[in-house]
Amino acid sequence: MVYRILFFIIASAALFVQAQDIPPVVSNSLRVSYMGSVTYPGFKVGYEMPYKQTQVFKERRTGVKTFTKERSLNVNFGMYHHPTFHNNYFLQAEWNLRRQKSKGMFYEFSPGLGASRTFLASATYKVDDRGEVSKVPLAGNYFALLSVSGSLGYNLSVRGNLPGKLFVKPGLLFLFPYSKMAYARPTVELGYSWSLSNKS
Amino acid sequence: MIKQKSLLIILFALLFHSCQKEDFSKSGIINDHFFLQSDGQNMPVTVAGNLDPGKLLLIVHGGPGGNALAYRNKYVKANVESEFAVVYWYQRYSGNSQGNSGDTHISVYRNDLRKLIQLLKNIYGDDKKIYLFAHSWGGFLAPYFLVHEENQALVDGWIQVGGAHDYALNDSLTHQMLRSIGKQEIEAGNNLKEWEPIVEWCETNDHNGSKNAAKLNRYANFAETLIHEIERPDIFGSDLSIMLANHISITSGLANSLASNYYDITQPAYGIKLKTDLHKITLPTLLLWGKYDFVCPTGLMDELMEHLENTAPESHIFEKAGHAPMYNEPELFWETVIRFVTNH
Repeated sequence: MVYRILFFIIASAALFVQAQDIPPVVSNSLRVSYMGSVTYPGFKVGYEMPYKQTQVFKERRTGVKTFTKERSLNVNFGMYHHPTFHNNYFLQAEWNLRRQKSKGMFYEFSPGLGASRTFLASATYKVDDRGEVSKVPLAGNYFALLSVSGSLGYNLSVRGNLPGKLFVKPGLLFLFPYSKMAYARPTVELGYSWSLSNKS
Repeated sequence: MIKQKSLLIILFALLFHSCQKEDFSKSGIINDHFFLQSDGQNMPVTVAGNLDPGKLLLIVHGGPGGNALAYRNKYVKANVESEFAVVYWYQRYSGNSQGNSGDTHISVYRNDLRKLIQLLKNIYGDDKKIYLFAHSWGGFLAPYFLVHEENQALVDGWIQVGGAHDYALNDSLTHQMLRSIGKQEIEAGNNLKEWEPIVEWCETNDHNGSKNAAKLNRYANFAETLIHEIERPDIFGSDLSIMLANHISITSGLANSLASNYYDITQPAYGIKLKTDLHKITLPTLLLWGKYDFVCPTGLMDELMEHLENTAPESHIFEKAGHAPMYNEPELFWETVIRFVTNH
């Protein structure tokens, strides 16, 4: 009985939801954001390459609701500065899943992966077995990087003429192996994505 | 083209933003920060305070995986750093220490401590006197360091605060103390709901094995919160404000603490009986304990007094303190430490 009810719900949904793949009308974009974690500053610049866009129509009692699903690949470079800890520079590829409402609001979910290099925030020394001290130039570590973030934004081109999107994007960066474990760094981005053509 | 060049210049400027200070003053009030790189780990070191008396108090923090800068509260900044310089060293797998990996054996910790002292002497001068201030797990590491080879020649004094120089003895003493004080508290009708399960557990379990040791440690920390004689003055600022002021990364501390627990760093310490080597120590020594220290009971101090044959250790028990007398009776505690360092 449960399976029948489930089948009915899914079949009904299929009747009322229609999705249509359309060629991407969204242009490549340049994303720039301030990326900090509570008190420590940083930035991120990236290039967004959309590859799929789907228009979805949902029938509701109040009328037809439409929204757009977009998929894109982002390539980013970023850094943050944490005094007495480290400065971290990273390259990152993000898979961006965006759902945009007809009025311009959008949500994104963006898992990513990449690599990072930290530079220790102060002079670093090593001491050999004879007690000789030497300075370590450009001390720091390479880490693999995983990230996950969700964002909330508004597409300014929907109601105005500005070719871009504003977004706020909380997320987590994971660096590993970090002390044989993983280091999680909460981040918050506040940014703007410029559309590189007049379509956005 | 100009834009690209500007961008490159900005990127390089940021890359070398970590411009590394190399000029360290050898006198006056200092607030230095640097890293010690050793065996896969980069360990932050903050040296702050008055260098003019030529003395450095090197904090060997608890844990393993503890927080060196947690000792640097408002009281210490105002009253201790004005007397001499304090060295806040994050041990490997602690706080802001970082690196991909690195050995976790206790002998590597001992090696790190030697390297740090050699580095401090290199930076601030061979004439500077160094005093180890060892707390809790640091109270294992310090004597483990001092009795090894010629290490004690590198330092000028040893302050042991609620230290765990013998892990097996420590567990048995905690077990006894929880039982005896727990029973007294139950008889007095104090915190029955809290004490009864602790006493019951102690009567049905012994102190052997890592699971029991971990349970005893949790009970010991909890038991201190039930003792109303312990003073808890609110004069230091919140833990969060200390962390923010010192740029401590909470998540780095968490990752390191997880690693410390996962790799069970203290396990080899159970096989080491330092008491047979304590006679080698000839340094001026100060033993400081809280009367209600359930985590490292005062019986450990008694054993040190008995086996430190070749020095005359000074000692003090703080009547209104637990495992961290520096927080419970800060004025008396730091006065005692300052007097010891000044006199030696």
